[in-house]
Amino acid sequence: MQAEAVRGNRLTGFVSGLPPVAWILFVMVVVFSFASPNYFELRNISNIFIQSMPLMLVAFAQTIIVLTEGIDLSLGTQVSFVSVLWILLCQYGVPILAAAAITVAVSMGVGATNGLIIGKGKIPAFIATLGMQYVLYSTSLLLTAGASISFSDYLFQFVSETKLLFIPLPVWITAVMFCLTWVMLYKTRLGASVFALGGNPDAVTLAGVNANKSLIKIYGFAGLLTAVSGLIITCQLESAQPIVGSGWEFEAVAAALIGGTSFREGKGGIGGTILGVLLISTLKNGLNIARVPSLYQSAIIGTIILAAIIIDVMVRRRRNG
Amino acid sequence: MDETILRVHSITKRFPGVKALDNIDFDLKRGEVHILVGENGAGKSTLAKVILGAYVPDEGEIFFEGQKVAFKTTRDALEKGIAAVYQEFTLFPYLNVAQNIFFNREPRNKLGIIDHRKMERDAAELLRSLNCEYIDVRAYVKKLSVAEQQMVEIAKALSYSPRIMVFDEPTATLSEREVESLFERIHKLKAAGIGIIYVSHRMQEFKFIGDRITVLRDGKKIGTVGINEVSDKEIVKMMVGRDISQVFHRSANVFSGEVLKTETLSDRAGRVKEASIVLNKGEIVGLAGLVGAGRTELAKLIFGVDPIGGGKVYIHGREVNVTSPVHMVKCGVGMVCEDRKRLGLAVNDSVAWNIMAVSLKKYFPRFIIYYNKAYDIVEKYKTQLRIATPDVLRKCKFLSGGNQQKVVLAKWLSMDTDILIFDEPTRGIDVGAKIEIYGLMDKLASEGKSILMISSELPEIIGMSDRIYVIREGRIVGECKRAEFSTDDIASQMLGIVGDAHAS
Amino acid sequence: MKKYLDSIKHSRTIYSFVGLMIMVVISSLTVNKFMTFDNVITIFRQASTLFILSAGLTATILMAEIDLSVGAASGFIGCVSAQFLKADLPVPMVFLLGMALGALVGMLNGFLVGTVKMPSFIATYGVSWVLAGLSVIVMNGAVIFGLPEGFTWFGTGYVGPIPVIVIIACIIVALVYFLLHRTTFGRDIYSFGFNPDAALYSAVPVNRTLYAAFILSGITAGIGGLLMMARLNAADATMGDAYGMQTIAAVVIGGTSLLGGEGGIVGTIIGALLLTIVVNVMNLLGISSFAQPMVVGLLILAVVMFDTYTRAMQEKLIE
Repeated sequence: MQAEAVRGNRLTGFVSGLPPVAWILFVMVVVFSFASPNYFELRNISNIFIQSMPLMLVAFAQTIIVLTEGIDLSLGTQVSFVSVLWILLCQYGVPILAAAAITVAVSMGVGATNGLIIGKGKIPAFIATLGMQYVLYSTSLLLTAGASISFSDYLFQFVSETKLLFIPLPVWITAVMFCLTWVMLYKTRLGASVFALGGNPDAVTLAGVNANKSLIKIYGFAGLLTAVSGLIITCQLESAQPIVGSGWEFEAVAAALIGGTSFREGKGGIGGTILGVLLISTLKNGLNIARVPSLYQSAIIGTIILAAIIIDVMVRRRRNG
Repeated sequence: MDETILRVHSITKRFPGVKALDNIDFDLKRGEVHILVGENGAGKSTLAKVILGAYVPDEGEIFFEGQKVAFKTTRDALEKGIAAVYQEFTLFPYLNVAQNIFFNREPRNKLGIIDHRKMERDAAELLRSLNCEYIDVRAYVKKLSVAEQQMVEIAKALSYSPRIMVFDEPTATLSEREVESLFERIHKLKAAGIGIIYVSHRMQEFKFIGDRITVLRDGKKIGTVGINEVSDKEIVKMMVGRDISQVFHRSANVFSGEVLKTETLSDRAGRVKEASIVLNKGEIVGLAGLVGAGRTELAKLIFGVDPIGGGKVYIHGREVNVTSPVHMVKCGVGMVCEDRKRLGLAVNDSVAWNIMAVSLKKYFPRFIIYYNKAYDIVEKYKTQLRIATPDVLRKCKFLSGGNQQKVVLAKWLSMDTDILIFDEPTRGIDVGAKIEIYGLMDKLASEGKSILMISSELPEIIGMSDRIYVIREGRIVGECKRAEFSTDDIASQMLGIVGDAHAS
Repeated sequence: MKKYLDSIKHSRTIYSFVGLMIMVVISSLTVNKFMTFDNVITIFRQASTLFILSAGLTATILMAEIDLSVGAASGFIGCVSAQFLKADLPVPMVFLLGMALGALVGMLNGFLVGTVKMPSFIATYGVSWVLAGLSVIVMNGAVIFGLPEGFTWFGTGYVGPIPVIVIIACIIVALVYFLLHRTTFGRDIYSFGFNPDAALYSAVPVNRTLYAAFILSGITAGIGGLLMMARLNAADATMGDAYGMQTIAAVVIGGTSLLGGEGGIVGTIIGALLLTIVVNVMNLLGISSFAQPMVVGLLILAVVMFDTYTRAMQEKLIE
């Protein structure tokens, strides 16, 4: 009974708490749909959905980190690194699932290292993770000599093509990861410390929480999410490209901000992020359908996101007087 | 059984440049409310923080229930059962009330999953015991009023089932009704045998809840007395340390002409409501009020930091469009902030460049800085204000509070503005430096400057002001002239003892 | 003047200088021909773009803000200017347009940080993505070769034994040095960097200063992009990419703190030289260019950690 009331609260609170930017993008999606008649075809919608799953996972990771008033600029290169590492291990004859497990562990270690540098080393998050971004970027390039590498295994097709109850496996995997993240955020002490670190970091230590340990765990958890993202994208592409995830960290931040997560006070959550990712993916898809050359898309999407965020802040400031 | 639950033995705590606590003894009995008083910077909060494990003392010992303890963190103290309600909030805006109360102690199952239902039930029960059942345990703390947040803080401290509770100025933000229910709760805690340390400087509260009172001054203990053994006036004298007339010197002055006038000035947040004040040339006007009464907010409006919601500001009779501090300084207004380390100074910057921060463009209007000239100016003010630093390029954080404040004053003196707003100009500095600053204020007024002084140190406001405005809940509620001051009475009145008279 | 020397002694630049000296000694011992006149000139020539870009960035970092768009902006402006040159615009005009474009980018950053109040690392990261995308559009996936000689002279020409680009870099560094250390604007930047709230209460025009710092870093990015292109005698969409990180590295290695207020141009120049030597040595030793970002990233992490650590130790000693 009580729990239902909570959920009810959360839903209405969620909708009314969405920033104007979400509505702006929503309007754009509607405009696109008028511009192209086949936009809302079922196949198209499901395409958008499946393609956006790897980014979705990275966006979850970014959201929990932004909630702590941090940022992880290495997430995109983490995805690439995971992809490269997995294929490489397979090429060296490690069984594919064992290789996946090792890759996940390594990725979590990378995340934890970020957390360690930020917490224990007291380095601003953006600089620590920017450093990590460059380290991973180099590593991926060195491991692959800059080219894409591939491996063939039935597992890749299995993951990318199997449907369960009409829903493709990557979506199921993402859903499971969403639930895991949701439980972590709302049902564990670690989750409470995520909101607490963003809201009042001094008081976290005062309450006897080892903030450095929490940061290691949180960034490590982000590493888990990016690892799964990297595995999925590898299955979808059946190869590893050393720069496959580049720029995702930025799209992930944008998705989090669009979904109502704020850089201050630990405000927000992963529910809004889903919406943010879907809006961004729909936009990309719209550009594809409108035959905008892929060369142009990065600039256009970046501009739209920045413009949307600016309008959002301006609107909110005017509203608050 | 020993009645003494806590004994502090010759504690000393040093900070860069000051001895915050000097050889302090202190004890607390079961079921007692022991009040700690002193002026700002007397060391009362530092002592509380040492007891709570937030500071590790340099010398001395602490005995808890007869056993020697050495707390390294607040966690250590909490585990022994020493909880606190701090002056600054320790809540998290986007966790709900229950999550805040039980933060890091959430009931959970073997998998580490939190039992929200139990947590919310317990939280609701705690709030009910504080007569605060109207607070929704599932609401984000962000959505609560300041007073409600304060009650959540108290509930959080209580949830540790403490044996000692420390209240650090807990009533500053509470309404009367909330203060009453807090006191009721404190009485219940007393009855349950909990020892309470109550840090405050609201005189009118002491008789309601206090048993004993310890007065600190400049980091030293002046004395511990039973609450019924002393009069309020004696407490004031213990706090200030000398006859008020020795500390304050105010030359007789003739005031000529209106310099600053505000007309029904309001802000946008509703914290200043239609405030009208006047400041004459050569006058020191006191603005008295409790923390949160809108004193600093009014000053920020006049200085152009916060946007004006309504009303007008006149300087030298001309209406000015208050846009920014940059503009107001051009109009001849300066402001010495209350929060020295956060707003008044760049503590990591050198003494020299802090002093030059405002007046740089006055001395070097053509964009280019000549270092030798700049250092000459700095040296002049260093000598004039007797700022004790071996080297003007020393970072301000290595200076004592008094010297830091002199740097802030030098910054504004070098700008030479006609109007100066002093917000708590003597907070956290020793008596010697205070007297120097009072002398400086008197001299400035004699030279024809006008000063608006905000203070919660009542002796100071009476000693220095030519006229006093009293502000409460954002409104100017009273005004009196120096001729109407009879020092003792007004001292008592300003300290809030008059509140007793009203009550009785 | 003595006072000014004192202020350098108080700062961390001294560590950077020692670091540079150690690096020079190690390099000349391990690498053949390192200390030859030709190689020294080469190092300065390679460092000159970095000098210019990081000089502007120093102002932003001194304010405890960051400009992550420096690399992308320089690349973008290089690309646009290449198209201008292809369209036969006169060289001085191209220079002016490039600088104006840089100022515009800086204004956009200033707007996002100062007016919209986004954290600068997000705002400028976003801008850098947009600019990188725009560069691709401007170049349309191609590379432009064969720029007019009147233009490439700035990147490849010599005056006596000294490359023109080194002279230009020195002039620009001197100008920025003068701005930061000798003018009231420079002091406003430091005041803001040490404590933005105190700066507001000290009647520092905080927003204007913020805009100006970002514009400065935009203009130097513009000049850097032009010279980069002149030196390569070519333009492609990714030419500025490597500089995003290298400029930050140069500034922090030079002892300017990410927390704002501490450091300055002298340190940045030392940092840029040190970094260039590292890259130069890596090239001379034949280490893969793929490894360079990693080295730069690790250097930044190491330096920032060292800075934080020594700062904490110093505080402890004082207590």
